[in-house]
Amino acid sequence: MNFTPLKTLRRTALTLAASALIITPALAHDIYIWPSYFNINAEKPTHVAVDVTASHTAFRPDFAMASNGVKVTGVDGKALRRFGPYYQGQRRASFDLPVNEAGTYGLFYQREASYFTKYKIGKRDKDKHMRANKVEAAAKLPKGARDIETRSYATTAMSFVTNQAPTTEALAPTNQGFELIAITHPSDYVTNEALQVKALFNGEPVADQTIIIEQEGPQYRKNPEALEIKTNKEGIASFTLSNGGRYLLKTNHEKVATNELADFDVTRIFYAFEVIFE
Amino acid sequence: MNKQLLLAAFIASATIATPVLAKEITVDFSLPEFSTQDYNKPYVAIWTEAQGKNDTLLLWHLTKRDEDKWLVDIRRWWRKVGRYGDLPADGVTGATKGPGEYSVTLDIGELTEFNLMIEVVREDGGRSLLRQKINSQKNQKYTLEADAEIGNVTINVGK
Repeated sequence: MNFTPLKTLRRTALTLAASALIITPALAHDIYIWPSYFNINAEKPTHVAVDVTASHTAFRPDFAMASNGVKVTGVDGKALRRFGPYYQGQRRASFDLPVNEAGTYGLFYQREASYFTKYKIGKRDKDKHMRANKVEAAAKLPKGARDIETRSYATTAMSFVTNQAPTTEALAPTNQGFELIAITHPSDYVTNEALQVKALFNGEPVADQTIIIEQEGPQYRKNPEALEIKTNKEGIASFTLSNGGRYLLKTNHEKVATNELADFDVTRIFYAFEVIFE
Repeated sequence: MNKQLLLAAFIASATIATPVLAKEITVDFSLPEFSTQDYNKPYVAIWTEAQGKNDTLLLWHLTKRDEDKWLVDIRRWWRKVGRYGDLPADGVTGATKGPGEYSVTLDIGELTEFNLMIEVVREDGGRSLLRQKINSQKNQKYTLEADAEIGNVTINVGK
């Protein structure tokens, strides 16, 4: 990016934008996993196509994600060991989920914590980023680095597929770390009915957690504004959507780190779902 | 006449005076004609929604194959009844039908107060969802206005 001298205000804005771009694609982008069909009726074994991507725009594949982060939960709530061939191209990654039973399958993409250290340096207080945890950064940081902050970023993307009658085993919380739990069953998301999700940390409700919900295709709408809500004391966020279609729900949880590798631990959750027009 | 006989007559008249519980309803409706190149006969579902219990009364769909993956497209019916797999008995299901006037008599069993739901879905076409609250303890006629995929509907209870 070219930093030609401009009015101070504009330069600040540019610097901010630039610093956001320095983060690697996978972290600067939303990561999500979503099925081609959220609800099906199959008595015989069948398959549902699933895409895994990182992107700036909801439901538009931009970066292929590796298969090792994919976890599929069967209708019994246990991990499915095999889910067939995985295609990882340049821009997209996908697989065909085998659906052999009635019930709800969980689709997850999990990314373990990666560490970023930001600091300021120089007369102009330039913002810099380094892909390093707190211990590594201490050894690598240049002289005069200040306002040093290290964050760990873990990501979970999730979605659900229901064949015939819904089941809840795949929705169950693990009570480990930050989680978003579907209270209203994902196969019951219909227009103009109150839908609920719950934020948990180690199984305890997280109050005042910001949740952002964006409909597919913001690039085609006059007003692509996203919905922003917060969880209540019980950790529950309620919302009602009047448009049928696909949505991406995002929430970032940050807390003071519990080990010496970071100052803050961030968990990002991306939840893709469908709202049926009824 | 002795007293016992009088009493018996009284009980009999009391029985007659209690509300008649209709066990059948008649639904008259039409499926409109569409002059589109991509016309497919619509799926039609009629069902009851009562507290905690929903039952299919009529289901017109593609019966050629054993399983019909498109049943999901009768959105509300699928969510409220279809997905639970209690597929209705023979006589309730039937093949899809083209434009025309239809009159169907449906068995509502012991239901007294319920919502009668009618959903019509046409591939590459539209969708209509009608709802009528019904009390089967009274003989009554309900008229529902036509919608995109269904003509005027008349529901007769207890006649």
